[in-house]
Amino acid sequence: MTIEIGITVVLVLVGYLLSAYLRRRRGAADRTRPDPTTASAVPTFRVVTLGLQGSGKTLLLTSMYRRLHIPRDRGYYVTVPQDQLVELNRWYEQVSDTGRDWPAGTSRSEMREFEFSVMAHTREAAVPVARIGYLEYPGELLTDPEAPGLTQQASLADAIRQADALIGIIDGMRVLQAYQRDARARFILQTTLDSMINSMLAARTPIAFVITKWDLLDELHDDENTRLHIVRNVLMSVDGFADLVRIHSARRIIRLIPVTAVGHDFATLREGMVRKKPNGEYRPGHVDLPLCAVVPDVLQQVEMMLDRETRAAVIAEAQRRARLRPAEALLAVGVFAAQRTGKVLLSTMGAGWLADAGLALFLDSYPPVGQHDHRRIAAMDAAERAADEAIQLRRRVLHGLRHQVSLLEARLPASRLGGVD
Amino acid sequence: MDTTQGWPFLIARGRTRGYSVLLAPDFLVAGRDYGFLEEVAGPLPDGTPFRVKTVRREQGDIGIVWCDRPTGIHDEHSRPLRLLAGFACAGTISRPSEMDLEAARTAALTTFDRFLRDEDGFTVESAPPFPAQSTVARIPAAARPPARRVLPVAAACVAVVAVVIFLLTTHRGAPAKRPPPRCVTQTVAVQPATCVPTTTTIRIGKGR
Repeated sequence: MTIEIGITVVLVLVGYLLSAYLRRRRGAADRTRPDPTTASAVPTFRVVTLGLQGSGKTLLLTSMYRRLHIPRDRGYYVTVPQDQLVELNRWYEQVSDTGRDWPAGTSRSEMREFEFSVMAHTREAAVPVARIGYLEYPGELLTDPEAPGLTQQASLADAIRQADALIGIIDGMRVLQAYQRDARARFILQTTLDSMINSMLAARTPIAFVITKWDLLDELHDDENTRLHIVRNVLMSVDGFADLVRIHSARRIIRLIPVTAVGHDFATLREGMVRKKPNGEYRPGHVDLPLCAVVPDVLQQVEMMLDRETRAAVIAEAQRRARLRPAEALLAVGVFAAQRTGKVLLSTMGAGWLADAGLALFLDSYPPVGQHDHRRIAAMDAAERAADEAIQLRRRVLHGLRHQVSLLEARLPASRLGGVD
Repeated sequence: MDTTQGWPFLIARGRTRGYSVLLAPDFLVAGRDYGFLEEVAGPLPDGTPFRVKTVRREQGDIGIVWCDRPTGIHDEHSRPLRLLAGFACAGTISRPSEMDLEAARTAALTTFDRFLRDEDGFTVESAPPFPAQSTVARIPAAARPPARRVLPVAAACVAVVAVVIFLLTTHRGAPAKRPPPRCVTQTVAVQPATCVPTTTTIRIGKGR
């Protein structure tokens, strides 16, 4: 009898310990799960930059945020979590202060993803339209052997494989030196491109090559597009680059975006060193474009990969959706995803940013045909009107992002390396 | 009396080479387990004199203290080179000594000097211990399993005990074929002890 009681007590104890363990695990999972009413409704695009150490990744990130953190005349802006904001502001202060050194470079302990939320305002509130994850890491991960026990190179390789868009960072100073027939600079440029091309050849994502330190290349030519042509020719002469462009140009978008993270009158190249001018003016140029191009390019890339029949079906669904009330549109996305066209679209987009939120974003990216449907809006209650306003807002933001990219292409035709114009 | 030992370490970039561990405690180099220093000891915000952390490794807790100092040297991208120099001790460092940090910095500077002379050919250097003045709390590794593993391990132990009791009961559960229970003294004489002592080894994984 005593033994039976003992067994019962032991089994109850085991059950309690296991349930406590499972509760704790479930609690941890709940804490990391996004709020279904907000995060899951907004598609997230993962962006990975590929750039060697010193190529200007951190400065680009800093200036990109500075450029996009207020709406200006765009109608959208980006926000980041508070801890990342503190870091970006710290870098900004260091970069823009002409009396201080450049930032010291990213270490392995600082590898992390910055989370940009693309925000816009309805009449009621600011709402996120899309999120962009931007991986920050030390460039030596691409080239240097890893110390025993570290696994960050594997993490980076995973991030590259799962990225929705890749940004190759090319050091403008090396391009200038290579153009000036500096053999070492040409070797480094080759190494830079080698480190990217292997990953990019296998990628299905849009690719943007960003030429950093564009201000140092001012001396090449007065006209910016001619300057970009010169740079393009230098890059095309590097083994592998022309092949990548040729292979990808049929069904991929490849851009060449020149950026200056500090402006054309902030720093100067003297004796091989980039020094801040004592009275330099911090005015970044084109830094917002690599990020602005991500969402339109991913959407366009998907569209380019669809066959004619699927594309027609998608457009028909998008037009039908535009006539629906918000609640109906929400349900319709799920139904569409289960249909043949929806499945083809899902498989074309791949995993990651998509789900229903990404599908809705893709469908909403087609402008509605015809007049604004006043009767449809009049039949809505306040909540539906707010939801409808959010959908219209998403369309406007997408339009704004595309407009930015169109401006770049119009101003610098040499920036489009391939794909369908 | 047990003397506390400290081992210097250094993480730095060169003029052309990226961040790497240049100097590491000899036992970590021998065990090829020094890479984590690079992940843990990062740059410090301006005005932070040093930072202390405890890292759980397979051989037990390792306390590290480091500071972030400028060198006045720039790399080929015009960025300032900084030294992340410090020392490691077995256990948790509760009160780091400035003298220990100074000793570690001195060792680190010597290494850094050698590194700058030949960045491409440089490999991690092994640092011997020095007598440390810092206050260190040593806790045996086995006494501090990761918290998240306590419950399942405890449950497993209890389950093992339960199974043993169950088997014992089942074994005794055929009274018709077995002699009636005897008193304890007789049992000891007739039947060998069935309680097998078990040892539970708790492995502490690598990584932070």
